[in-house]
Amino acid sequence: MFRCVMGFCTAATMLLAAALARAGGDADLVMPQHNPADEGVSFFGIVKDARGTPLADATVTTTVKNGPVIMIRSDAAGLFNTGPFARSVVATEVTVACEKDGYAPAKGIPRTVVKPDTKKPVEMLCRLARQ
Amino acid sequence: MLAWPRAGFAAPEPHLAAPEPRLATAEPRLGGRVLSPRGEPLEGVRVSVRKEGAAVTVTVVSDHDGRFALPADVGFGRYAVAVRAVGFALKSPASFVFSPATERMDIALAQTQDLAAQLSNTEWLTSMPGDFEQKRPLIECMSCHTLERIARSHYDATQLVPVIKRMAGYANNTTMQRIQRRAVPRKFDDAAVSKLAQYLASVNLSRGPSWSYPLKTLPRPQWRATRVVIHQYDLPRKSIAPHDVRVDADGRVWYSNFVENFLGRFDPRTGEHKEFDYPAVKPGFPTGALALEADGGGHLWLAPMFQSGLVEFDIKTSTFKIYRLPSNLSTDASQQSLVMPRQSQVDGKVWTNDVSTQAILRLDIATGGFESIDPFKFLAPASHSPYGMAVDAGNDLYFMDFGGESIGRVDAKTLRTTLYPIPTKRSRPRRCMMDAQGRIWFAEFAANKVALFDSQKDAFKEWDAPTPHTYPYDVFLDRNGELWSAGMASDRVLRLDPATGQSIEYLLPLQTNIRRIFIDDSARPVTFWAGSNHGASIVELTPLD
Repeated sequence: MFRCVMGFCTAATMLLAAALARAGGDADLVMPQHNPADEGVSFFGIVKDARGTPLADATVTTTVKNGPVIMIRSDAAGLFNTGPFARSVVATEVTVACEKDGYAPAKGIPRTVVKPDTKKPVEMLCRLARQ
Repeated sequence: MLAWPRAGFAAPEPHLAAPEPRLATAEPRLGGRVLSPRGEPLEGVRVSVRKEGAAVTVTVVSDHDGRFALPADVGFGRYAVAVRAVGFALKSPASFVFSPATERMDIALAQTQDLAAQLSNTEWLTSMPGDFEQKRPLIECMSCHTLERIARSHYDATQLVPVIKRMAGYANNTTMQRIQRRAVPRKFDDAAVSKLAQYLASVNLSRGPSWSYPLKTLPRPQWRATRVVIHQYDLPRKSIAPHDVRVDADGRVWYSNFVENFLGRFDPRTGEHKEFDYPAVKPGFPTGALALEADGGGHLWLAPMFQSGLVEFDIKTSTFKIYRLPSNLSTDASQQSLVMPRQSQVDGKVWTNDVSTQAILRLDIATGGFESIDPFKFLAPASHSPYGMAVDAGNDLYFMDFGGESIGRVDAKTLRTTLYPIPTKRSRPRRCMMDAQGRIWFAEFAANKVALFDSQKDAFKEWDAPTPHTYPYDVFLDRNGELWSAGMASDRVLRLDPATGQSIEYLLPLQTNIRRIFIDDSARPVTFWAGSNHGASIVELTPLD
């Protein structure tokens, strides 16, 4: 199955290894449950207006440098959670921005200093001022 | 040029098989009444007739007076008769001669002797004890066989472990008629397999001669759900597994064969059936294709599953062109299940996927080269599977993450991914359709919902399927703005009005494993088409209002 000679694997066998590890989601029972050790940084927090009232249904846009854009919505309590990124993602290369109709868009501000190699959940606050 | 009705085009000749509205009794129609064993009229009973020697079965449904009338295309002749009404069996008549002397064909029913044999997959899941998490793995089993097969098995929990592992070793394009094995075995979560084995042993016949739980059945259709005519056209070989069904401007039905390397074409008006075979580029690997889509130029495209790559068919010349994966993207596990060529004229690209790597692939038609895009590369490892696809006017791709809970968008120019998580977690969106406004309608397979995504507003709207354990596979928005849906579990076709949330469910005459659906908007009234994936037939459903 693996044709690696002297430590050098052809692209196809590398791909096959990846295929075995990450087989597409046909059935939950054959998918190995994902390992928390594989999880990297995530961003969670709350969207609030200028008075501190949580804002539901705000669009929270998470952008990874040279990577995807993830568009989520704050829930009824104004909360959002991006879910974990891969461990390779650099925490300082992720931006979180919020917007909602009738408000000026704003950036999410982390509540603690974010280091590039942070792999834990980072709490954010997004304050929207009325337009 | 081939024009799929979704784009909108002039209506063809009226469909001969569709019932035409008739005034009074211009022509004799075969009809009668359905009576229970106690002699009471029964509503919602499916009455099916098949002419001797014919390959078409016509079905209507008894109304609230127990009355039914077959359409005008059921002419004089000798017919075999069948019924479907859970709890009942046909007492008489088994066959009937319809002649000018016929007044009526009354149907007498008896109690069924084997209720279990009548349950749909939905009714089994409703009957089995346990919560949804315990039942969740069973929604995959329906792909290849009925849940009745599991319920009737005698394996205990220990014996079930190797059985479950064997199941996972079959190709997803496997049917009871054509069992195919994967070339590359899949990795297991042993704890999950063991848990499933325990659960299945608690709901099958391993512990006694009968089930430890009552068999729950769904009520028969009522009112508008009885106002329907269903034609089922048997295909010439039991091994044919129609998966994606599309109707062209001439009313001919094209379909992908899920287990054999044929593209099928069926004319319901003439009964003509033709198959176009394409080569197996990977001998020894499972054969058959999943998705069938038309591009803008009169070509059909197939996603050939484990044969890998893409297959293009020129309708004018009846010839195939095969696009093979390059060696750096090709493994024994490579699997192309979806293809989206609809806007290939914009930039010469066709989208597809590779199930084995959770990736999107994009073909450049001119060079034959493929590039791979991993939309989930920056996320922590999790279950993902780019599946149902749609493209906008710029050939940007929208895809359903069938392993997860998002809709993804890949920009045609930058190849940047945007992910839109669906409000319902673990919903496993499956197939989809983009309407004329660019909005995406889709089926949330694991959440029992149909839904709408408006990418302009980044807004979702969801509707619960009216029957629990329906597991919708696909949706289609018709020209009247009504949303149709069907799947592998309930033998029902859903027709939902998104404006009001009101819906009708039409129950089909037989157990019918449905995948892709198609609404012929050019027909009057709109007509539903799908393949019976395990029943080697094409189903045409015409509502009467």
